[in-house]
Amino acid sequence: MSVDIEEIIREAPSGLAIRKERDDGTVHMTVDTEGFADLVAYLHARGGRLVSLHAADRRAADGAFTMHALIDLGVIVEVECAVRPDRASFHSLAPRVNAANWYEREVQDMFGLVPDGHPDPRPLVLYDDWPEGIYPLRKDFDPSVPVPRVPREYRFRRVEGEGVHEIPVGPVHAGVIEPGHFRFSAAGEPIIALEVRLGYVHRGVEKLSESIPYRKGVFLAERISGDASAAHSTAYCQAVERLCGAEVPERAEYIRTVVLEMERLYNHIGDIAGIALDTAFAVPAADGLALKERVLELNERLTGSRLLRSVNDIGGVTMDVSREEAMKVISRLVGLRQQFEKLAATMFSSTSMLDRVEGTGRLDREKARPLGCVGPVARASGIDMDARRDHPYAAYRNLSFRVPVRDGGDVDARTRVRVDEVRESFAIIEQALDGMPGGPLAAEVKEVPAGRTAFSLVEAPRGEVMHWIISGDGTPFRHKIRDPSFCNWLGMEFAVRGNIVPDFPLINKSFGLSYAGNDL
Amino acid sequence: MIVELLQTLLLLSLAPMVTGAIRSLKARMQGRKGPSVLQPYRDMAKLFHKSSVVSKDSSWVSTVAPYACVAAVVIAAFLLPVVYVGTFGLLGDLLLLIYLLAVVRFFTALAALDAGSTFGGMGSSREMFISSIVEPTMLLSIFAMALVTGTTALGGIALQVASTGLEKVEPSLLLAAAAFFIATIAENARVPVDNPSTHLELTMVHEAMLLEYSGKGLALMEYASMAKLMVFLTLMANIFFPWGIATSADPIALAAGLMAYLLKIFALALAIAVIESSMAKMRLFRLPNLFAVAFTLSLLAVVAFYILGVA
Amino acid sequence: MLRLFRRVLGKDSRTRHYPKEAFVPPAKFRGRPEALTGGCDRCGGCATVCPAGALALIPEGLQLDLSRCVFCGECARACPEHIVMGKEFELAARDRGELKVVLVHG
Repeated sequence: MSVDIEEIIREAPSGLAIRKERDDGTVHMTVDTEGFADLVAYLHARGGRLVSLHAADRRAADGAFTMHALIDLGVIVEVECAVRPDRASFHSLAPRVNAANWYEREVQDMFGLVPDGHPDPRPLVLYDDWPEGIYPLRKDFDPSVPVPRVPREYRFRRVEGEGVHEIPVGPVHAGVIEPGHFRFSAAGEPIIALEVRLGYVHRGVEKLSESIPYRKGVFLAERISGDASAAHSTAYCQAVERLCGAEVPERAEYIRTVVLEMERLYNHIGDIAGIALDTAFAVPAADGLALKERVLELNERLTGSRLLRSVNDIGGVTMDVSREEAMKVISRLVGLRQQFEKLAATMFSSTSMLDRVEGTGRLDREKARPLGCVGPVARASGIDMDARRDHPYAAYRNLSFRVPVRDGGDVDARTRVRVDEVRESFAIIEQALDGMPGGPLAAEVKEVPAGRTAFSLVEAPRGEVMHWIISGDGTPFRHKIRDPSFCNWLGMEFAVRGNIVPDFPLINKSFGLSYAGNDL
Repeated sequence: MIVELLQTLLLLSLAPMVTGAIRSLKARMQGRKGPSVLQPYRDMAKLFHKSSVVSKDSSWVSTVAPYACVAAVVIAAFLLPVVYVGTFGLLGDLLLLIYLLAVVRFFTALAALDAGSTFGGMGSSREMFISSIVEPTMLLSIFAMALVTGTTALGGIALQVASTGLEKVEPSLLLAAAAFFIATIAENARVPVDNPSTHLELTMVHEAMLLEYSGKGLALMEYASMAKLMVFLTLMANIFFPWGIATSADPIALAAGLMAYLLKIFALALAIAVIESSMAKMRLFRLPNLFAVAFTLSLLAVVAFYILGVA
Repeated sequence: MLRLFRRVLGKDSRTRHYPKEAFVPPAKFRGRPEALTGGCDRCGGCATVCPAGALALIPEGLQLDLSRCVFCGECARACPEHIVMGKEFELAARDRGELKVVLVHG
């Protein structure tokens, strides 16, 4: 993306913006409350993608709340404004920047700042019986005091018409999967509308993080979304490392890269097998899941943990990969790759399976882009983005790989994008293991100074993960976590239109989203 | 009398094992060992001593349905030649059989609507949609056999075809058998029509109608499904390909009949397992295409009989 | 199709016969923390680093609550002389009290 960031900023509307460069190459602009929405909408209109929109409670130090918007214009631009507590509201961006929709509802739930002009100001994160007036992420909220519950009902969007009925699914499902509620409006089998209601696994991770010292925070990060342990912990570590200016040694960067790609491998292979499973294509599903199991076993050999936990540390990694181990892994991967190619060939040559996946759950680019979708979902809808290439981290700068993009936007496209990414991951792991430089495994980390802000973007298997931290006294002062699933759930509501109810599980599986990552 | 009774009991008691065998074969095709073929018996035994939870919005229909379904299937079993061509044919013929199977479907679907849950309703609507095309197919294909043999008594059909040797392998028979096989897959919730082992409630057809049952009721409904499958397989084995069945009640013929029956059932179970393992489930609205093929085959079976002349 | 029939005969079965066939964890596997040597000097370093709050100093020594342990390995990193991550993973118990064990005496 070759954008002239200077020109864009020069032509920006708000005259009262104060700008400063941060040493991580991002641009930081402070603006007044009135100009915030206009500036962010302008940057979005100039081709910027909304990465996150969140708030922080700075009343103790500065007497106000602050709102932060991160926009990706090739270079990340962070726009900040203050929100005075007596007003406790801001102009909603949602009408102009669709991707801001859920972020603003989350800010309302967590901080009590009202987005004026938001088309849909219902609660998002907190459960229906959460009392009004209690905002968990405000500094004066004490998590040890039980909150009184006030029974209330959540209003779902209604569709009226002849023969239209509502189908509620979940949060308790017939299978052992994460809890989430789906409210369909269907006329028989064809789906007219879908509303996704999540929040059932909200655990208060961001609040918890404010009381956990940085080293222990790594373990919290690993458990935000269980199968993205490596991605979340890497993003967290990188953010903290930027806060204290630590330089991660090269060997550690390479090991992190290998671990991140192993995570991508097992997730994608599991998702591909899941597509076969959900179309009742039993033999490839079993073969795919067996292949995933082999990768998990390889993870365990390499790191002692099937889900790649306890590898990251602030400043580097906790364990080494010997030359011997690396060679063993490379040779194992050769066999796994062959099995994978066989699996993909079987799946894509079966007409019964292709009939199920082609044309199902189409999400066009014109919808995916304004919604701010990320990851394989975005890449299957023609959006060319990947944090590994666009904002390189770990050892990705030194490795060569391609970013697969397709434009079908259907289940078939999303599955094929994952298949292509698996092939790339095999190649990246081999390059990284082969070319691993020597050196220490971690940098000395002194104290993390308070009052600084830093963030990190990592491409998890589901898409872009963001961790943004304002450092406090030994623990984060404010820790904003944004899992890729948060950006993609709304895409589901559009993708299912025009499909029939029995195709929904397949579409859901092809999106492959995390409920826990979304809910935090 | 004794032989007929024993053969029916054989059918009814083997039914869970055949379902177990299909599961075991499918598991092996997936590259794993799978549960033992006796597992369905253990599952039913476990369910029998669990308590039942019934929705307070349901009526007598839900309580009666499991018993009605099992009763219907058991009576249907009495009408079939299993090892020997003699049956309790005085009770009824093939028409009664088809409608007993319809009774099972009727009660299952009605009870699914009874509890007022969405998935029950969806399962019932899909089941009815499928059976609207499949039931005529079943009827026509068995009628074709009745035409070919000149009788609607099931034992009589088996006797006729078995005793005339291989000249009876006419186009009508083959077309009707093919149509009936597709109907078997559809009526017994097998891939590509339905996935019997899915956990996705939005895709279920048969399983969705069973979601409300627990304890004894569930055990009975599961048994009714397994016995229904056995009835269909027995029909396929003994109406369309009855060679090997005992035409007289002497011990050697009965032994041969038993062996023939077990072999045919196993071959059919293997065929079902292979089909289930080689393809994905079809999209719901593509199913009418498949059923139309089956219906056309059964229609052709009847027409072929008239065109090719009476035997 | 041929592959399916080969598999029916039991070839390429991926089922492991656990527990009849024992599972041997790999070298880096982090199982139940174990005491390497006795003589805990009660410095409390391990308890401080434990992210799950599973370690506590009691009169008998260092107590490990297996119901809280996440097998991260931090305690072994903090105190390599006394604690090592073992290979035991069959840790089920019928009573929560049984899950509290004295790891190092001292």
